[in-house]
Amino acid sequence: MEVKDIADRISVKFAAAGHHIDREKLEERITRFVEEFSVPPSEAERSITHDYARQFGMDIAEKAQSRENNNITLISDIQAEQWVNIEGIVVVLFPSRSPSVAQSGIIADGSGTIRFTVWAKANAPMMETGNWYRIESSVADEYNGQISLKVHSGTTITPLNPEDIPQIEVSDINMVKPGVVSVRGKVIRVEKPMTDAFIQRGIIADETGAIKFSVKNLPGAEPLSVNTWYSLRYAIADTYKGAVSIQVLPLSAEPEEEDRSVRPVIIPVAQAGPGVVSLRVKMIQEYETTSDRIFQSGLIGDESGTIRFISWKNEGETRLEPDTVYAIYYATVDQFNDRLSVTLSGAVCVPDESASIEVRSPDEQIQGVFVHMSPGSGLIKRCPVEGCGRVLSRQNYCQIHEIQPNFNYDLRIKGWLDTGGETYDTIISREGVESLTGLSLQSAQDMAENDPLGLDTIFYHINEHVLGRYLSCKGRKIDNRFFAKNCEFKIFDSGMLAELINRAEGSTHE
Amino acid sequence: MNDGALFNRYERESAKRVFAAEFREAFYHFKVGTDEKSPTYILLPTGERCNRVFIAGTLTEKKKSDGETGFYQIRVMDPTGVFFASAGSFQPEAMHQISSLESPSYVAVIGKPNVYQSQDGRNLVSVRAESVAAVDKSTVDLWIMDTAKLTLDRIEQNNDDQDHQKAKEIYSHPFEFWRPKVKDALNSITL
Repeated sequence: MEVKDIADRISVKFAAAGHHIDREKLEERITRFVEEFSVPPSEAERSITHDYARQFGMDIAEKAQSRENNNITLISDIQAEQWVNIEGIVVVLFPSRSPSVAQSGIIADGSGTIRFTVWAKANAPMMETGNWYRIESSVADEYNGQISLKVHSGTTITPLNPEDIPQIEVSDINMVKPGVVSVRGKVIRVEKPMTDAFIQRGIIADETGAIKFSVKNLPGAEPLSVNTWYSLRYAIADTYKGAVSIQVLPLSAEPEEEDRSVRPVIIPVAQAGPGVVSLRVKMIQEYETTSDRIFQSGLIGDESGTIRFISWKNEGETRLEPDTVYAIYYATVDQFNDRLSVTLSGAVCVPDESASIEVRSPDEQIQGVFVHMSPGSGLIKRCPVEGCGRVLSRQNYCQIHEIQPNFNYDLRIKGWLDTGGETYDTIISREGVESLTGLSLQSAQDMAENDPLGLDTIFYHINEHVLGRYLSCKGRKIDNRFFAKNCEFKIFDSGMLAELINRAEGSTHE
Repeated sequence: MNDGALFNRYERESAKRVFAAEFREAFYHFKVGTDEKSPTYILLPTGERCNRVFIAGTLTEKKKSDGETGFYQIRVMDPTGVFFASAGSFQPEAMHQISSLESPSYVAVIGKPNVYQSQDGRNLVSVRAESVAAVDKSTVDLWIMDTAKLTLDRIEQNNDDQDHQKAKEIYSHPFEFWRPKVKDALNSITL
C-alpha cells in the first residue's frame, strides 16, 4: 500500500515538471529500498526523488522534497545539544551587544517560543520581526537552564512563502499558552500605552475568558477598535509575571461582521490568578492609602476567599463602599511578592445593592511557641498624623512627619512564633497583648511613667509573660508573616494527650 | 520566581522539638553552603536536620564557671533524660535570664545545638542557649505533647527524603526504636 502511495507522489511530482517515470520500475525500486533493505519509507522516498531529480537536472525537486520530509521540530520539543530544523515567526529582535552576534531575538511557533542567536560568522540573511522563516540545521544549547538556538555558518535560513506558513487553529482564550496562537474575540477595552514602543494595549475576550493584548509600534501596525470582534491570526502569546498576554502583529487582525455581546466569565476569588478576571465580591475592608497615586485600596472577597484590590487615581474611578456587593468585569490580577492583587482601574464595577455574600474569613489560627521577642515590642508611640500611625523612634521622630510630641501610645508584640515546622514573623496587636498579659494600655502607661526603666519595663514585663510559652493566635497570615489580633495561652487538652498515647502505641508490636 | 529571590525576606530556622534521649544520641553535623555564616545543622536520629531547638523541662543544676568571661552551664531534665545547655558572653540575654533562675524550677530554653568531643573521645551534644524563660508546669506538659507529636511525625513520615536516608545510614537505631520513648514521655504527664 505504502509503496503505491510513494510511487504516486513521486510520479505526480515529476509529471508536473514534464518528466515521465516508468511506474513499474519506480515501484520495484521503492520495494527494494523498503522491503529488502528495511529503509524507512520516508527515507526511501527522499533518496529516489533525489535520484530522479538529478537525472532530470531539476533542483527545484530538492526544495519540493525537503518540504515533504522537512523533519520540522516543534519549538516546545527542542532539547539542548540537538540539531534542529524549525519553522517560526520572529517575535522580537534584541539590539546586538557584541560584534560576533549578527542578530538575536525570540522566535515562536504554535508550540512555544525560544531565544535565538545568529553568529556574525554565519553570514545568514537578516531576519525581520513578524516574518516567518525556516531555519535548518541550527543547534540548540543550554545556558543557565535556558535553551536557545544558535545559527551558525552551516545553518540555512529561508523565508517562508505565504502558502507554506503553518496553519494555527483558533484556540479558546482561556487555553492560550505561550507561542503563536490564533484567537477570535471581542475587544473589550483599549488604552493608550505609556511608551512609544506600543501603539495600543487592551483586553480581548471570548466566551471562555479574557486576555490582555498589545499592538507593537511596527510598520503597518494598526490599533484595534473597541467593541469589535476580531479574528487574530498568528498572535504571539507570552507570559510575564505569571500572566499570559498576546501581541498582535501588523496585518494579522481581521475585523468580523459579528456583533454578539460576550458574557464575562465570573470566577471564584480563590481561582483568580495573574491575568484578566471577572469577579463577584463584597468589599470587606478599606486600607489607608500609602501613596498619592492610589485612589483606593483594600480587601474584597467571596465565599471562596479574599484578595487585595487597588485602584489608581484616574478619571472616572468607582469608589467601592464597604459591605457592598459588586460585579467586577475584566479587572487585571497581578502578582507581587507571591501575593495577588486586583487592579480595578479600567474595570467595570457594578454595585448590586440587594445581594449579600458570606465572605470566607481571611483569619487563620496558628499555634506555636513564642521563641523570640524583638525590639519594637511593648508600649510604643505612634505618629498622630491622620492615616499615618507609624511607630516613632525614641526621640518621637516619624520617618515621614518628623518630630511628633503629641504621639499616641499603643501596645504590641513583635517576634517569632514557632510551630516546630514553620516560624512566623509575628505582630500581635493591642487586643492580643492585653489578653495575654492582663495589661491595659492605661496600666502600661502608668507603669512606664512610674518606673525608672520607662518603656523598657513594659518590654521586660511582657517578655516574662510570653517568651517560651505556647500561644494560640488568630489573624492574617501572609507568607511567613503573621498579624495576630486575638491571642491566648494554649491550654492543656487531655483528649489530645489520649490521642497521642494511642498513636504512640500504634505500631510498637510490628 | 526571580521576583521572589529579589525580595527574599529573612527566614528564621524553626526550633525543632526533640526529647533528651534522642537529642543526646545525635552527633552527625553538617553545614549547608560554604560561607562562613552558612547555617550548621545536626541530624536528629529520627531523620531531620536541626539548627535550633526548643526544650522545656526541669532545671536541675546551674553552675557558673569562674573567671572574667564567666559562663553558665545548666542541666534541664525531661521525662527521657537530660539536656546540657550553656550561655556565655555572646548570649547576654540568656545569661541574664539564667542568673535569676533557681534549681529546681521549670524552664524553657531556645538555642542552637552544638556537637563537640569530650576528652575521652565521646560525642557530646549541648544547647547554646539564646534565651531561657521560667515557665510553669503546664508549659512543660504542652511541650511533652508537642514533642511527642513531632517526633511521631518524624518516625512515621515517608522517609524517602535526604535527611531520613542519611539518618538511616549514620545512626544505629531504626526510627521505630524511638516510639516507646515517646510513649514513656507521654505517660509521665500526671493530670
